Amino acid sequence: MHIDARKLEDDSIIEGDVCIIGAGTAGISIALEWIDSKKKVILLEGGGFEYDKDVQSLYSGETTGQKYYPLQSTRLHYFGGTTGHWAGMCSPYDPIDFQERDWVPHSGWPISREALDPFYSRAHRTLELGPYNYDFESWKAKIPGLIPFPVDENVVWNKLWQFSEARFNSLYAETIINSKSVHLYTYANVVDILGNENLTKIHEVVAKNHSGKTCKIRAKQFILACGAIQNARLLLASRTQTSQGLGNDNDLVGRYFMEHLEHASAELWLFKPFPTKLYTWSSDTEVRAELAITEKSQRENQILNGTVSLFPLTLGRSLKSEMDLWNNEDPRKSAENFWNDIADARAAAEKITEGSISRAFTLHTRIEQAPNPNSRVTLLSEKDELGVPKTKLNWELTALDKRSIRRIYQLLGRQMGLSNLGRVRLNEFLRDEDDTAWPDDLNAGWHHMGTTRMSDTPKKGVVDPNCQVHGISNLYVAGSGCYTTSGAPNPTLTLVALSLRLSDYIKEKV
Amino acid sequence: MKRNYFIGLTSLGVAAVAIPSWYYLTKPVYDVSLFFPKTLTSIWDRPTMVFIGQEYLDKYPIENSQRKLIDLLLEGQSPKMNNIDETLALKIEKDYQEKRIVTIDGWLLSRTEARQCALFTLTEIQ
Repeated sequence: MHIDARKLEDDSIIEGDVCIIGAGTAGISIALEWIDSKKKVILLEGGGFEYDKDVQSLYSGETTGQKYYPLQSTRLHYFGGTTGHWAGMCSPYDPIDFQERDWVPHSGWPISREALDPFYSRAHRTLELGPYNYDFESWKAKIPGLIPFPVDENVVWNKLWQFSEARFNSLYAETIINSKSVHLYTYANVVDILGNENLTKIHEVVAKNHSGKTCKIRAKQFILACGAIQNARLLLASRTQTSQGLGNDNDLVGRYFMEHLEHASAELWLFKPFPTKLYTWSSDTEVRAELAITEKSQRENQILNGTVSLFPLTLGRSLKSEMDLWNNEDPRKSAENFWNDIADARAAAEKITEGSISRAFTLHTRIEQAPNPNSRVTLLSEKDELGVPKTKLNWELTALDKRSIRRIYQLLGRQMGLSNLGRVRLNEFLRDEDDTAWPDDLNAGWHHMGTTRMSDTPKKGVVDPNCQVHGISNLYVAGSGCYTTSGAPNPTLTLVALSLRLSDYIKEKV
Repeated sequence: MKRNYFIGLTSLGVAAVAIPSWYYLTKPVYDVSLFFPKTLTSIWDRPTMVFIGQEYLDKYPIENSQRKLIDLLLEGQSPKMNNIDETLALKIEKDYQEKRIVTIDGWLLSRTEARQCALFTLTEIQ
């Protein structure tokens, strides 16, 4: 069922069993689990089914610290969320990502990778991926041409990726609209969350839209699924009953914001061509690998988890920085800049077909960011058009982040030397061992994580291992905001898995 | 640059000016392979080789002499070794095994191949 909240009577009251706030990847993944339920699920989406600049502008804010993309441009604010233009890259987090590592401050999830495995498998169906199988040897046996570099498996392993083409808007809109259980309200932007006197239980949320309509939604269970930045913003902005915001007794909401550092970091020059389909994009293979550092080597070198992808240097040298290209508040225009640059670089690369550079590759880092309490989302005094304080993001990196990137390439450089495949050249920003500064054009993956981190105790995080906000019995957070550490892979597969796990948990409660 | 052309140029350069006469009087003549890292010629041109060699010498000025570099390159080896290419390849591999890796202009090189570049550079500038 679909209702446009702009057409409701002002001050309407909507009641249901479960209220999901946000119809992006996490929210829709959960809603789909309730399609045939006898319970009434209210799914609130701030936008409609298409891009709306007024709705999108509600994401605007300011950034400080390490240069970041315009906040308004980093998420899509309509049904389906950022799956509207995502790259579809999926790979599970590694077991070490969930573990406490004494060289990574604030690391250690209260759940293990094994706890998520069954949900990863289900998430594959939601995202229309292939089998939940990331074992290199079995894929190698299945697909010809997946030839790995002959490097030491104790140091470097081949981490596989699968690719989803799921756009949740076109893929699931009809299913949701036709459901009798799920009541989708578009143009319903939640602006406040209200609870009982002691704030141990939520009673209702208040939603508004640009048509001037307000409605209140009452439910037994509430799930925040607006994305890591907006979830934190909404908790902090819900100050009607508590000045510090909901779930923020320990001043942790919004802290530990993490991104994936995704940056061209080095070059690999091969002595001879190495024909393989394993490491580069190819439309005729279901999987691709990135060179990853083993758990053993991470421990020995006290570094973060990260991977390295390859693409032709002839292309890489022509590409501009994404941080410079993705500079427009309008995500559509930023995306256009981005794709135009790739097209230009490809055209330039096609002209270079000879010489040793034709055997050379840009080595592109994809690495977790160390959890840092000073990397955080707070509120500005300025408010958006619906009266919610705007977001301020201070993105702050640490010396461990940079040392880890440098060390990854030193390890890889040694492996290339040992195998005599070729030589690795560090990019300028990694050459000085004592330099902890970051270039202004450092790229990030548009991945927002950690702002409502998961922990066993309220002193260390915002949500418990079931994604319930500590101290509030019926308020949950879905999505990558719950990540305690950010892992190396893109967050979508893991956030869908975590959302399905949350859905199961709530089903037991209602 | 084509490898054969590169080797040809290198050999000529080395034969003409490379090794001071006093060195001939005290040491045997060495294979030209000693003066450049064979594998790197497949990815670098001559100016790059010279540049890397100079960067190495700037970073390790104590090695800024042909004699010193030759001694270091042949350290532990017989002066009359039969196949210097093979010997140096093994030495380079051992460098990587034992983590004797230097960073020159961002390149992660074995100490041996970096010294070969340095020696090549000294032959070029004489």
